[in-house]
Amino acid sequence: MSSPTPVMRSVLTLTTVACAAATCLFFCHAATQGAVEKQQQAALLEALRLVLPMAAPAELVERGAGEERYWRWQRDGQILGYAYLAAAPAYSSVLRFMVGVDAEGAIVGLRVLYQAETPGLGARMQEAASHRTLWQAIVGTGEGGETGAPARPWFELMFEGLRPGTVIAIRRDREWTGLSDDERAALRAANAVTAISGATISTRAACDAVRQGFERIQAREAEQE
Amino acid sequence: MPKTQLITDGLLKENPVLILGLGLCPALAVTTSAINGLGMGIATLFVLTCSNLLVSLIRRQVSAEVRIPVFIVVIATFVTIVEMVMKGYFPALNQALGLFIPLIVVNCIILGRAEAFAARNSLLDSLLDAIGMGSGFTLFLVLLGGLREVSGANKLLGYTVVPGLEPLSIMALAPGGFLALGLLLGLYNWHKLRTAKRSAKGV
Repeated sequence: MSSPTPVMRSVLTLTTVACAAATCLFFCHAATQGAVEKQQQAALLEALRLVLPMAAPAELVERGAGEERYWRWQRDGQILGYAYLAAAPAYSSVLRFMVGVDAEGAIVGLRVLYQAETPGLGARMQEAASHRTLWQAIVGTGEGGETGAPARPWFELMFEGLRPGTVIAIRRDREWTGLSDDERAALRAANAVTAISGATISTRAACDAVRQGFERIQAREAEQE
Repeated sequence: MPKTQLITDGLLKENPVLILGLGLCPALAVTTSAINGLGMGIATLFVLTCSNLLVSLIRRQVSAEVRIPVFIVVIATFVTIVEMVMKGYFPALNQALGLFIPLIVVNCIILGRAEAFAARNSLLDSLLDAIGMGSGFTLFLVLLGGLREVSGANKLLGYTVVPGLEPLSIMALAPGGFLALGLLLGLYNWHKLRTAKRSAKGV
C-alpha cells in the first residue's frame, strides 16, 4: 500500500482519537460505576431515614421498581406508614422528592433528593434558614455556631402534617419563614403551603409531585388487596 | 518570554473573560454566588490543564483539517471523567456543583487555548498557560459571583450581609449577569485608559 494520503491520515487520526477516548471512558465508567451506585443508594437510605425517622430499616419493605418505588413501613403485620419517591417537572428541572406519610395519610417528612431550579428562586427549596449575618459567621456567634448541625430546609419542614390525599393549596402572600407558630398551624390546618417568593412554578410542581406520588401508592396498595 | 509570565498574563493582562472575551456563557450562568463561581472556576482549571497537556502532546500527529474535532473529543472526554469521578467519590461537591460540570464542554476558553496555544507550544509552556488562564478565569468568576450574590441576594458565601435589607433580585437573574459583567468590563477599561493617559503624560 502506498503511503497514506492526507485524507486517509486525517481519517486515521480522528478514528484513533475517538477510539482512545471511548476506551478511556469505558474504563473510567467501569471503575466509578460501583461508587456511583453506592452513593445513590446511600442518598436514598439517608432520605428514608430522614422522612420516616421512627422506622427501623428492617421495618421498611421496598415495593415497586425504579422511579415508582415506595416503601411500606410495617411492624408486626401492621402498616404504620409509607415512604415514596415523587417526581414532577418544574421550571428548569424535574424535581425528585422522598416523602414519608403515616397510616392516616399525613406527611411525616419530606426530603428534596434532586432539584436544578434557578439559584435564588426555585433552588431556595433546599435553603436552610439562617439568621446569622456574615460578621456573626466570621466571629462564630449566633445560632448554629455551637452545634454545627445543618438546619433542615424550611421548604421541607413546611410540608409536615399536610395531607397529600387532598389538594394542597398555595398561598402567595407571605413566606413560611416569616410566619408565627400560630399562623403556621393555621396553614397546616388548611392543608396549605406558602410559595417561594418568585418561584410559584417550582412550588406548584413540588405540590404536584407529592400529591401524584401519594395517589400512585394509594392505587398500588388498593391493587394488592 | 519568562516562564512565570505565562501564568501572570492569564491573571490580568490577558484575562480570558475580561480581555479575550471567552467563556462569557458560563461566566454569566453560574455566577449567582461566589462559591458557585469558585467551583466552576476550579473545575474549568482542571479540565483546561489536562486538555492543554494532551493537545500539546499530540500536536504533531494531528493534521490541521481534523484538529477541531480531535480537540473537542479530548476536552469532552476529560469533562466526562471529571463528572464520573465527582459523582462516585465526592458526593458533597457533586451536590454543590454537579449541575455545572457538563457546561465546561461548551466553555470557549478551553478550545480556544487548545487551538491558539497548546497546539503550537511545548508541554511545559502549555501547562503554565493553562494554569494562568484557569486561575484568571476563576478569579474573575469569584469576583463576578460575589458582586451578584451581594447585590442580588444580600448574601456573601451564604451568609446574610445586611439583615433585613431587601436585595435587588434582578442581579441574581440573567439581566443582572449582563449588568454586572458590563460594570466590571467598564471599570477595567476605565482603569486602563487612566493608566495609559498617565504614562502618556509622563513621557
